[in-house]
Amino acid sequence: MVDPLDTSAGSAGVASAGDPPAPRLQVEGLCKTYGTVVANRDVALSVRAGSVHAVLGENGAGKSTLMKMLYGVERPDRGEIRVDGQPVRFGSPRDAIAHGIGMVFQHFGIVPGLTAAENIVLGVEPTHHGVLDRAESRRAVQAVMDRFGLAVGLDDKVGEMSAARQQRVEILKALFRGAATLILDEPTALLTPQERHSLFDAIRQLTQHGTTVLFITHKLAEVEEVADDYTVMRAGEVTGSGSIAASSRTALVKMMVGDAVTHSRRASAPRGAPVLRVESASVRGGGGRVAVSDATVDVCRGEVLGLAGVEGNGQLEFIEMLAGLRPLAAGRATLDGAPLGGGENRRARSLGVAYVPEDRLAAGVAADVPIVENILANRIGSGGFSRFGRLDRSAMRREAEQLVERFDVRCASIEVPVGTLSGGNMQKVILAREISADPKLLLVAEPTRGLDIAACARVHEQIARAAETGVAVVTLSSDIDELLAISTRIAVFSAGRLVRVFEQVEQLSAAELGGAMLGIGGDAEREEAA
Amino acid sequence: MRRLLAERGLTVNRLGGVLGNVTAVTAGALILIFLLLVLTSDDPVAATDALLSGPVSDPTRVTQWLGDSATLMLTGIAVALVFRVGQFSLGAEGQVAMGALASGALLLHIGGTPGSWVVGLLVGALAGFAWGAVPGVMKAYGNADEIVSTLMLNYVALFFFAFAIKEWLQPPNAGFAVSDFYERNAWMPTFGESPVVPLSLVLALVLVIVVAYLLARTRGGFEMRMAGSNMRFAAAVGLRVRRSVWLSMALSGAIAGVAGAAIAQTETHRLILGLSGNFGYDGILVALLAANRPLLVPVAALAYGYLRTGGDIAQLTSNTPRELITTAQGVLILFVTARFTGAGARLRDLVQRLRARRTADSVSTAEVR
Amino acid sequence: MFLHDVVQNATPYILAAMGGLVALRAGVINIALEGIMLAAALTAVLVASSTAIPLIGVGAAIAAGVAFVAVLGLFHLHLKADLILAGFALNLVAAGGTVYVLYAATGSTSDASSLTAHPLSPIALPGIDAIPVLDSLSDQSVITYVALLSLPAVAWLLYRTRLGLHIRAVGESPAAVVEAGLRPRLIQWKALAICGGLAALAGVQLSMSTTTTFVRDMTAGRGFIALGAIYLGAKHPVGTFVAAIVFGVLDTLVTTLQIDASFPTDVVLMLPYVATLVALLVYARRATRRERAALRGAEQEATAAA
Repeated sequence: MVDPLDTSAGSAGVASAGDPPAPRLQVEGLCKTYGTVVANRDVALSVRAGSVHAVLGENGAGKSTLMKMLYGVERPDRGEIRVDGQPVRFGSPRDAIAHGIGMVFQHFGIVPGLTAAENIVLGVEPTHHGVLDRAESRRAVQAVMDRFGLAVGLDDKVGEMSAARQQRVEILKALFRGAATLILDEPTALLTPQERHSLFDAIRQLTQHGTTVLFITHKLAEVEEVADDYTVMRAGEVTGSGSIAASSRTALVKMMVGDAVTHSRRASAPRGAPVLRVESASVRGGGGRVAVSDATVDVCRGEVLGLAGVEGNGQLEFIEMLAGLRPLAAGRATLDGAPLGGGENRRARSLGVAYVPEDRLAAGVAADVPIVENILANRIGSGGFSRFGRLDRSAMRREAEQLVERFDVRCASIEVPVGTLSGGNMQKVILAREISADPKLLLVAEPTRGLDIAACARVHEQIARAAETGVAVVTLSSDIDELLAISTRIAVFSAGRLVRVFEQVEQLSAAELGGAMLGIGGDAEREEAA
Repeated sequence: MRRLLAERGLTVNRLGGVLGNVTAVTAGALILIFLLLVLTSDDPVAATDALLSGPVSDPTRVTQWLGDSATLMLTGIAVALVFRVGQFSLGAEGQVAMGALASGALLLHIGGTPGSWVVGLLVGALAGFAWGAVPGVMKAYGNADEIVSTLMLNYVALFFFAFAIKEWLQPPNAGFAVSDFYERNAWMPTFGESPVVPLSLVLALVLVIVVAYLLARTRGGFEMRMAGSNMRFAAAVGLRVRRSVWLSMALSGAIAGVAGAAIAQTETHRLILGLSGNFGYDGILVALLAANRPLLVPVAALAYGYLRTGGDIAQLTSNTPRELITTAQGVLILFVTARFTGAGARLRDLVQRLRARRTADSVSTAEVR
Repeated sequence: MFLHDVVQNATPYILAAMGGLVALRAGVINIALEGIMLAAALTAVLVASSTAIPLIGVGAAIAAGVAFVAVLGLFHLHLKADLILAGFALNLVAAGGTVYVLYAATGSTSDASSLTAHPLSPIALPGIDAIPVLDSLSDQSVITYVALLSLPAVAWLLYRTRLGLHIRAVGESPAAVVEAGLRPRLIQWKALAICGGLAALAGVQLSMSTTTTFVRDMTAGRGFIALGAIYLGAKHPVGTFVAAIVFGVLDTLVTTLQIDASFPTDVVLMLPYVATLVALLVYARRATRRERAALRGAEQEATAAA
């Protein structure tokens, strides 16, 4: 899709005769190895000044490693990096920043306990002899916000912001330092469609000001929407590059995954009897405020109920209540007649609830513990594999091997720590763990956060199969496309209330769903417009 | 066999590497200590000699070394247990005192009965269990910081220990705070004459194996390890986290309590002020030196016990005030801990990078995640 | 009299706790506060005695404190030694080392009473010493006034200066600090230096005001209690300050009760620690009760809305 406002062609601004201007960023023959793993092999990249350049690829393709080297977090073993034609060596992010490169990470770049303003000016604070000049900070940050059209509450603590806001703070941080080149790492992973559009508008604004934007992603649709050029990586190598206009989706997919399967499917099972009944449920969220009020819904065997909503509108707290991590403040919830919502995860599990948390590393696995123990932790916790308190390790090993096989977890052995696996494989371990407990209700929060296309498809396959064996599945996702692809019904949360349930998902469009997410609840709308 | 080891991340190379590091560093630290002694002591050679070879110079010295190491092993495994569960309980010192006090109070009454030493140890364990359960429950159900609570309880225990002796257990003709001697049946058995091997050493080794087994092969131990690795995960996956927290602290207290009873029943044969002798805090050091791995605790305990005994001997035989030895011990620990966790890691990092350079050159494919 | 002693006794707790707080906010738990206080206490007495000028002793003590904490910094930040282990080891070094130096300087292993003492003279505040309650603030050493000022100073440092912002950032998120182009280790070094200076002053108060000489092991666990004060104070300057004062009150109570022979010494000595435990429990209970009340409130709110 050609963008009529394409400024990249002319942004270099040089019409003079002679050599074309050097690309803003160029990389040649870059190599990086970690131990025995070759993360980047002979990588070449050429980014035109003022363009939007997408780096496409699966997880483990080497994109993050490349970005880390561009930002000075890692040093290449071999190869050259050139900025505006000049070779550079980055010993630390300071050097990268000095060359006008700014990076926007998902989680690492911000300090949760500080305010947005403090985060943005961190490292380059305006001071009078060491004393912070707050007024000047405000003024300067406001100026950047106005210039680029991005706004955040300067005095809000970043730790309490939504992911989209946090990202904005990160972008502002880079812009505040005068970044001429902005690197965005999986920027839309946590955004709703509307937030995504705001981001893309912002990106276009940035390029109009001459900023070069480089972003890493695995989402093709977005690349087609906003990028000018692309470079595709697979297994540490570059498999193709060029301009988006001159390429096709199929070609890109082929470059990314070779011939692997990438289609997500919906569960095709007849809906059984209702197994989960929730009536007028209310749940308290963090900070004591009411996160869910008066929610009523039934979930049947064999169906996949997708929970849609702008992040922070209650879906997560709802699922956490069902998982037994938050108590019901009011109302009732029953699973096959047995009461849920007592706030005890052990009790919920004993009734047949399985739970996949949204944050893999923080709550989904014990990273330094071997796969075999992670994959059976829930069953051990409910008494499995043990007689008189003694664990049957050989039975555990056998079962773990079987599960790893069945769920296609790629690992060296089951004794390897789970933290060494890729995100996709880690998620498979978690799903294997939960599904193998034969639950009646499977709760999955953010099934494919941070995963690439192929891994996504495999996760969706597991969810579909689980539903087809009669499990009731409730999932929440900030990715509308994902919800539309795998849900048999979609419930929309807005300002803590369950405002709509869409029965015919096959006929639902992203625009309509997005609209419902914002529709009622003026607060949500106003917040979005800010 | 090699495959089994390799899967567990323990290749022969790595073990060798660690041992090599330790030797190099210990040698370096000892040189430094010698220099320190040269500068400050009247007779540095004698002091160093006492420090290094004192514990093995004479069977009675070996006895002391073994006895100290047994206690260190007990407190060491007690602390290693709680640290593995992610709890920073520093309460071993107080638990040792309470265990000794409880066992002593009972034994002063029933010491004549044959086999009473066993009861003494059990009572010590119970007292320690209770003293460990208090901060445990406070943490598990009240989220009260265990570093502060255990430190406070240490002081309370030590003062109570002194108070109890002076108030209730001190014979009228005693010049300082001691209790009566225990009767023979309350003494723990020993083996051999020179050196004398205390039963507490065997007991300590047994408890080390028990704890190792508990952590690796039981359901409760599994839950504790998971809680120690990632508590949010453990709570979200249905494990009994609160139980793991308080129970591990209570069990740790029990083991430390046994240590206290053992000291009284093996070495002093009565209650005396200062009985806990810093063994509780040294237990923390032993656990850290053993990287919280149960099976390494005996090694760390023997090594640190050697140092402790050497220090005592150096003080007695050369004209070196005790405090210099304490300083030297501190310096040594500083060096050893740096090597174990840090410089060693940086060295490995460097070696890896050099090796990586070679791999990047070769065309062979490596597995990409 | 009592209030005056409270202020005097609270001073070392306040200074050690404030110093520890700065280091803690930067992500470095300083277990070696005890050791720093001891080393500084001795240095102050020795230097003041030989130069006959108390303030030079104070200066030397601060230098000693900073040097001492620098060892911790070296071993933890650069040689990656375990923080708690290194702290404990340093306390060992200080406990033994101070007695040895004392022995070398005075031939005694118990105290420095053989040296001519040059303690800090109490400063009278004319006018204030006429007002009841406030008169406890008069006739205190200069260190006490520094301690009282340490609250606004540390609060100002943490929340209004660039260094303070960096300290708070590095304690929570060193990765973010690196990404901002700063050097976390440098920031932590600065925080440690401040900590060393404040803890040193705490030691000086002990040997140059409360007592006017150095006595072996005179810190008697105050360094650890200061750590407790930080946690009790929720790692915030105001809370820490208040907690430290509470410990000062308890400390003075203990001394007063000890003089009254009807109370057994050991029980009396136990009191501050029992008090801390109770405080910890109460604080924790109140936190959970607040949460439960909030939940109940939500319940009512929700049923009302339904």
